[in-house]
Amino acid sequence: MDLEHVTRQVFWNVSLVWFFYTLSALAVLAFATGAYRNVSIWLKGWTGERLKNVSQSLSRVLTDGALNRKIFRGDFAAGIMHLCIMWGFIVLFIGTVLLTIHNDIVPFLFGYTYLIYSFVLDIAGVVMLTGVVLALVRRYVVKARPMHSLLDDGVILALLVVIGITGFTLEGLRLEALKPAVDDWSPIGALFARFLDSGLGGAKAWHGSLWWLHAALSLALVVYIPLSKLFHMFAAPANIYLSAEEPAVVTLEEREKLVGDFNQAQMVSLDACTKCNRCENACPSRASGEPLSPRGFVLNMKGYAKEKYGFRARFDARAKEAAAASQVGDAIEDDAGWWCTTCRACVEQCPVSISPMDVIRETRVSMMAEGRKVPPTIRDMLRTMSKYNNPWESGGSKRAAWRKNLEAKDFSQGDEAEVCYWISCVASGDVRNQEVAKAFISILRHAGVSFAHLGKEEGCCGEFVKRLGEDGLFEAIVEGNFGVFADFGISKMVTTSPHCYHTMKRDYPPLRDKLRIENAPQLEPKHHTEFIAELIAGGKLTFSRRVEKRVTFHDPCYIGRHDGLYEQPRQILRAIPGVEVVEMERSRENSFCCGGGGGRMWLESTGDERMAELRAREAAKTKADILVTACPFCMSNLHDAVKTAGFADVMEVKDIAELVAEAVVSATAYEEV
Amino acid sequence: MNIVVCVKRVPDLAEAEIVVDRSEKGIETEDLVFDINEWDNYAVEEAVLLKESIGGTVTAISLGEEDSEEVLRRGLAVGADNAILLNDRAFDGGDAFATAKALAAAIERNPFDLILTGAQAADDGYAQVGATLAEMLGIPHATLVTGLEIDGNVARVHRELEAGLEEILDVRLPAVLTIQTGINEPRYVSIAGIRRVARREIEVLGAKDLGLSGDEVGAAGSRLEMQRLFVPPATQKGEILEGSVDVTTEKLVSIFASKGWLA
Ligand code: SF4
Ligand code: SF4
Repeated sequence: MDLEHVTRQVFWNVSLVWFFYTLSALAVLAFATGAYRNVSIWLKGWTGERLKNVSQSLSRVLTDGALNRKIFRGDFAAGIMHLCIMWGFIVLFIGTVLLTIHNDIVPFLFGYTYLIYSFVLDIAGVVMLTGVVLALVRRYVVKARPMHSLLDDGVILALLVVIGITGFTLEGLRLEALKPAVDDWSPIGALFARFLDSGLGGAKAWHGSLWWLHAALSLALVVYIPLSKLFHMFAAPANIYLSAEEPAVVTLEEREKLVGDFNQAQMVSLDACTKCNRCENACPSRASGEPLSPRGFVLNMKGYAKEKYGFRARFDARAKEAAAASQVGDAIEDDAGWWCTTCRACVEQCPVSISPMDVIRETRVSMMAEGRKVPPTIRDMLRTMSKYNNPWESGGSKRAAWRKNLEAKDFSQGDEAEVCYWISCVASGDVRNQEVAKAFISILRHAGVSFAHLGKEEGCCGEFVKRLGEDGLFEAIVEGNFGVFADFGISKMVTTSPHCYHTMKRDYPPLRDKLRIENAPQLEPKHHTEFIAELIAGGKLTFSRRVEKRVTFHDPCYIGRHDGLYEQPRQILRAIPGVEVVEMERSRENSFCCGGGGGRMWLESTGDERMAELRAREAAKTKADILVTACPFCMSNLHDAVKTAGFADVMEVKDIAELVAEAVVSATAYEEV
Repeated sequence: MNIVVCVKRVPDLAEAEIVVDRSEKGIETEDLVFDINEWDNYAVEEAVLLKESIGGTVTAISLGEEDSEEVLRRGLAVGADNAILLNDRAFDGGDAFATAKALAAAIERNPFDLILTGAQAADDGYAQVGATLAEMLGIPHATLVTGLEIDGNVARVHRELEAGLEEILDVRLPAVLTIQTGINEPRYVSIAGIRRVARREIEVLGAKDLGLSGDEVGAAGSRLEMQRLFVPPATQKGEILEGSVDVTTEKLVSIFASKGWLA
């Protein structure tokens, strides 16, 4: 046989080819309709924002999409599994397309081209099947981690297995029946042929019926893609791309023009969810036994979006009416929208860059506007906030009085300084956190920093108002604060609260531009860990005492996962003479939230054990003398939890500023600040 | 069902520092924060809840100056359909009677089935407007309502009494009910919610529009006259004894002894 003419006879042994073409056309049509439905829902969230970071976003699609970077994280086997299924599938799909071109348009699969083609496809088939078997074993046999398997998860895997195996069987039967001279470039097909040879006669007859089964299942899979989580094959890369763009700050005014409840990226992200459940497994609220599931939330909202904007709502009059009246709040069970601490653990984990956290916040925005489902404690706090510009008491007079007694300069009293020390509501109102403020002031003094606080002019930064979804109030707060900053010519800021820091760094600047706030200065906020680390690096702090303690650092979510300040606190701790630093099981990007963010300070825990207690337990395991943190919410929660969980005798909770102050000033000197 | 709910804008006094003004008939309001009267907040929520469950319209009405539009807007944001502001210099200085007079005239202009007011106002605490209004309109009323269901043209009303008793009354409609706090959980009114109704019209009416003459309303039409407003002198402070039980007991005994109370 001459090698040049080796090729595959497409539709060998298949009668009714026209019927197959008809079925295929119908399947493609069904696929296109489903895909159109999904994409048209995505477009409901279009805010007209331009794509800005094209190269950066594309490179993320490459690493996280094509190479499955985040699936490998913390679960290597899962990475291998997915990479196998995905690339096996892609290559087999391309193979099918090439074969169609060869058969219907330009014949080109001859000779070596054909042999290589058949070899690559053979391997791709094995790769895909390996992945699918791995998936089946992980999901149903070893149960690699909690996954909440539903029927469709099984259906998809079963389809892939059967399509793969029937594919190889068909190849084997064809080789067996035709006995071509050159068949060894399809090693797996050949293996099947040999196996079938020993067991089955009548290869040709078998081939005829099996071919239709294989074809029907393959077409069914095509139809099923846009209707199931399989659509993530398109939505996930799109979402990875969009999420790498700077997240959009949507103002109230822009929101009024939006059609849907979610913005573009969020609409896409709902379809991108693969139900892998990594987010839920990382969620601290979930871990404490509360009813929140970030995965459940995303899927719930996906259902809501499909119902509200899908075909039925467009074409069926009754569904249309129901959809028009349906509101996000109705789709959310009880209080589920309010449990989230906005700790960002789910975002960190999600392999396809979904932010369940932002989806949850977005539903809060809707529920705020509807008003009904806002828990009373949060409602009352927001009312106080809108009247008095601080969440706790009217007038803020006690806070202002406490600030006034601090031995530090005060902008509101006409003092001048280079840096504004933003004390924060919590540090001025809570007795334990007041100690931290004093410690930090003593450090600033020791280092000779020119600083002042805002005294009676310091209101609230509004961070938790934003996380709670009361965006209108947040905008008013931001405008007010920019007014104060402008009055006193403030741009350099330092604060001991990660929450104030984060919102001033991430939320204030875009709003400053979008709300066109006049005379507003460019802010340069710093967290005190950043600030102290710089003082140390610049030789401004001299440590005159040893602190012979074993300490462990709890990464606050809002400087850690939200802003990447992992090194600075550790640099500081290592610089203090005598301190021994040990890490907890979960630290840095895996840090476990204390439960204080996202407005949760105003919502009682309903879990089995409070998040802070779980964290205190974890800290105690390190046998540290001091649990160090750098956030007033963490301080309040952990300070309490160490007591209630029974570790008060063995472990203290301190802010990093207090440790530094002890080492540079003295254990008690700063008490006099 | 047409529901009317009367609302008032009042200063938030709970933690404010109060300064009596020079006339000694009012307080300095410069530094105070104003909001809807707490009881009225519950009344508005109750009205909207009724509308949501059995249908109808809700009209919010307030007597006050332009600032009072704020509380009416809040009512619209919660779900009221119409808002009426009674604003006229002639209404100034009115007591509960004169206020009820103006409200009654405004309410009578349209058909109504149910009128809700807060049980009292946080600033003057008269708790009279609701009852007076009912009297003027010639309809029944119930005060301090803590629960409410509508059955046809009867309102089944719950009232909490002293000593933990609760009574249920049937009140024939139309009627005035004055609402006690805690009857419901008022929804949150967000800035977005207020913005949504920012352009809705608020009808403004004066005495003439209501067919009332200047001496029927305001100070002229009032039956009470404010004499003086003042902060009563503080009573003498108690003394707190500190120290261990032994020490405080000893101190206490010596105080009693010094007063000659120990025979
Ligand atoms: S942000 Fe944190 S608390 Fe909120 S859903 Fe995600 S993991 Fe859970
Ligand atoms: S949101 Fe992300 S992490 Fe959570 S289940 Fe979906 S794909 Fe997985």
